[in-house]
Amino acid sequence: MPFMGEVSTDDKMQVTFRADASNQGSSALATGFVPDGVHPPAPTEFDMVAPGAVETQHTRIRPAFGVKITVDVPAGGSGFLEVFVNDELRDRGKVGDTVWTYGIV
Amino acid sequence: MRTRTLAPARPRPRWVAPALVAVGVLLPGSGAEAQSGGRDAECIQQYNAAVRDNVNFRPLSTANPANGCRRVAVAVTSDWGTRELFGTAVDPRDVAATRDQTTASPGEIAAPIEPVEAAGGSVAAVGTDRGAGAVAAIAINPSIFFVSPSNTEAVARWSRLSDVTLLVPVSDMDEGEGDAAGGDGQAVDYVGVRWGLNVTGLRRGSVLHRAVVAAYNRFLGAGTPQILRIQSLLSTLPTESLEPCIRILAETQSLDEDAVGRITQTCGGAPVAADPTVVAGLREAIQAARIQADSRYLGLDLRADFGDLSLAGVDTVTGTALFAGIGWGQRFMRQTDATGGVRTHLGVRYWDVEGSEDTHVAVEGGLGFETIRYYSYQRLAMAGGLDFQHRTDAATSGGDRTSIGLTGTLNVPVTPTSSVTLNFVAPVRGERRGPVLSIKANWRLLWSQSF
Repeated sequence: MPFMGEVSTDDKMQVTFRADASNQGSSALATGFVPDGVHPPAPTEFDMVAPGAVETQHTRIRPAFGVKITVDVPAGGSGFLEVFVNDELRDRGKVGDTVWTYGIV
Repeated sequence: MRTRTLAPARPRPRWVAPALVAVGVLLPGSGAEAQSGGRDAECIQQYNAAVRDNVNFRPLSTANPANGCRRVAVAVTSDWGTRELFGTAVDPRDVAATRDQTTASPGEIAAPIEPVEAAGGSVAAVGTDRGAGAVAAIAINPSIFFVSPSNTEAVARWSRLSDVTLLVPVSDMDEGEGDAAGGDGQAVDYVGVRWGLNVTGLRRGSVLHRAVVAAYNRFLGAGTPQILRIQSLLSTLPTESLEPCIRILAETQSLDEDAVGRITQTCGGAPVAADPTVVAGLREAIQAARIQADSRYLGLDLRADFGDLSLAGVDTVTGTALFAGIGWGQRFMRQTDATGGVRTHLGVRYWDVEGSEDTHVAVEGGLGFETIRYYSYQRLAMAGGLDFQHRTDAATSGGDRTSIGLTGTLNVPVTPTSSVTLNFVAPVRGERRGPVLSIKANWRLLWSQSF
């Protein structure tokens, strides 16, 4: 699902990915901002998640066009992705290779 | 698990965004309504209508229509190019060290001190003037035990530092005389240990990681002009064209030629052309960074050999040999996936002969030239050169103390994790280092594939 709705500047975003233990290798979890060309580019959170492991990223939403959460799993792999905004569950689901994009307002 | 923050790309100057919008406004179809709040509300309304039945899109809030056309642009371009990015992005095996052989060939001079990236092994059939045998080698990079594959920076740094190799014979572990079976009663007739320490490993690994991260950030930044361009198109379209334009944009998943044509026809202008060099640039950056990281080495080469020293290419005697030396190598990039280079080493060897009071000390060195063609995680490599050994002892040397050999190595990849190596040492001057010919099957363990 490419577009997951919108979040606001200064929101707290927590992204959690649980990689399936049966995955044939580590998965990638990246949360990055699409720069708006005006504000300084925000840093990208980038982690790799071993099979069976859990990774959590905490991001404060910066002024930008959007924020992308990308999960890339090994071939045939999967995991469970959850996104909390301001400590409230926003989205969750079993995913393979996926990109969730939130617009920033 | 530690979360790492990547350094952002250099900030874009403040004039860039307005300039890009201005470019869009000046294109055909622009008008006074371009930046109107009414058009923003209209963009959101048409977008929500267009994606109402599309499970891939969430609707936009209509409570505040500010920047509506830009928000629609963010939504409809959200998936363009991103999958390509992470399909080629940082994998631990992309940033780990790579080398052509799992272990140095028996008798190989000026063998590069580049550690195996995780672990590996080889079996070499070795022919010497004392006969033929087979030597198995197991190499371990100690970093495999303490570096998490989730930390690609650590993988890039520590996989280049050091490895330890154990060599044992496997053809006939007890050749020679001494018992009924023809052996001497010992478990094995040869054991060798190698320890390589690449002192340039950590620094060059860090350079590699920064280069890959920089390419990654460049890719992220490439989405900005696309969003501004789509915003510009939506802001300047005639009202009747807005709904079909947004619908065609929402249906587009990647900017192939057909998609660009449909968008141009429907929206009155083309999106920013998908630049294949952005994705390719990231892929090449990873490859180039890896080559750069592996382009130079300087380190210690420590070896100990016990038993039939001819299997180690040392001498045609049985005994104990110790070697301490330094190795240096430099590669020169000819193109992205091919290099030429020079490698050399210099060291001192001490050995004693079994059943004799004789001990020997020699200075050894070698100079080789190599050419390498890179394939996925492998190298097709040819190397040739000269090595010398000059004995400082006079006890048994008799005549000429200096021997010179001609060496050659050819490594051919078979799969991404295996290769075959042919190596020879031919005496040019002196007879103490007999001819050595080996053919070796290499196997390597890569870091776990992810991403």
